[in-house]
Amino acid sequence: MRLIRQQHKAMTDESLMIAISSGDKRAFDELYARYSGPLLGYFMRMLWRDREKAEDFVHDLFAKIVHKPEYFDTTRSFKTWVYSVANNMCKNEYKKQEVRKGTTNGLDNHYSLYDKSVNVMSEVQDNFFQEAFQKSLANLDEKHKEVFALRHIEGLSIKEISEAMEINEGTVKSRLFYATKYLAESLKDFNPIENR
Amino acid sequence: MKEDLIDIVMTKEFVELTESERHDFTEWFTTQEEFEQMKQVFLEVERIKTKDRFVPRQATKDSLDALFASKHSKTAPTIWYNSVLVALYPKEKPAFQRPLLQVAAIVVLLLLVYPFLNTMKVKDEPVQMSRTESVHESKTNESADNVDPVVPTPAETKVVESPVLVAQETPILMDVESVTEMSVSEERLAEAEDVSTFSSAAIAHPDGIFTGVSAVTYSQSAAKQPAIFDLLTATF
Repeated sequence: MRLIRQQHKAMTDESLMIAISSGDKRAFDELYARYSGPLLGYFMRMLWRDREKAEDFVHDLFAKIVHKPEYFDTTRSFKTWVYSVANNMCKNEYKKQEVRKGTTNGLDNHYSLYDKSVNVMSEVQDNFFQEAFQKSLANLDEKHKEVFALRHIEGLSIKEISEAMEINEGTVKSRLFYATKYLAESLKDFNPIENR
Repeated sequence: MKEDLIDIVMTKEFVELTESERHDFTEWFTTQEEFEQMKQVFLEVERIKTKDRFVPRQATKDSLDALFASKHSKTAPTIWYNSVLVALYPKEKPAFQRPLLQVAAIVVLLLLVYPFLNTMKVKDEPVQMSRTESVHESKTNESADNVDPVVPTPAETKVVESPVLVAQETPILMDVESVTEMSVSEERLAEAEDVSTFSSAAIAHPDGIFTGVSAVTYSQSAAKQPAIFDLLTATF
């Protein structure tokens, strides 16, 4: 049976989807192992780091794969398709929310951590920086946040992002540029030059 | 171009940038401060990619497994057969490397070779023959008591209904008269376990002279004829 498992590990995502359509449970297990973690991280970032909601979205997405595997076009890339589905799920959720939900650790948004005592506070400052980065990412506009997360965190190419989001590559590049500049600007309080 | 920007920002310092690189990425940064801010963003992204690895809860997987089972419960045997067939008959391999065909070829070879192996066996079974004791007569003055329930040789003796002249390997010489007496002795007949005689036919030759070989066959245990038994042991 170990030989069978190795067969599934060597199969492509598209081949696994075809096997799932035939009722192959091990193919589904392999596909879940490959994409459940990255998708959970994507939903966490896109849904204000709400763990419960992100878990539900992962469950719903794979439930769609179980019930309607024929929805996947085998001529397309599975990775592009699954993130397209995830993106649409997040858009629907945004529409339901009247007020954007954000995480907070009690810090004032305008709180500055500029401190010349770098050596003593460096570790604490790193933690604050990470929190600030996450908050800035959450505050990004959805379309920019999606492009930034898919490109830099999920590792999709410009072309794959354009297929998943159904936009042209030029739009992807411009949104990526804007998101990167916004994050860099929002983190200028940490003043990386003086903090070295 | 995007990949070049990340590589340059992550691997170089601002002072190490060439003029052409600064010109190419003018829209991204112009000052060292902007350059460093960009580097912070990319560094943080790398940290998120390596450290923020989320693992869904087991309850999520269990729920999906139940959902899958309810959807594909009717096709469960197909799953098993499909898995076995993939191992025994992989389509991506050439025909001679498929395990199922290899096993089938071995079975066919064994079936073809087996009949030849059977015909080559040497049949070494002894021929079953009845045990008879034959006595060889000749014109000598040997004692009639020296009747030897000769151990028959299987190759030379055989049981037949009609009288047969049987030659023995170790003849016990007897008188014709003693043979006659022996053959007609009722006591001997009574003691004998099995008697067959045809000497009367030979003696009753119309010419009264019998020069051939006649044989009286009877079987009797050696214990009833100790003298003969001694002769046998002496011979051997």
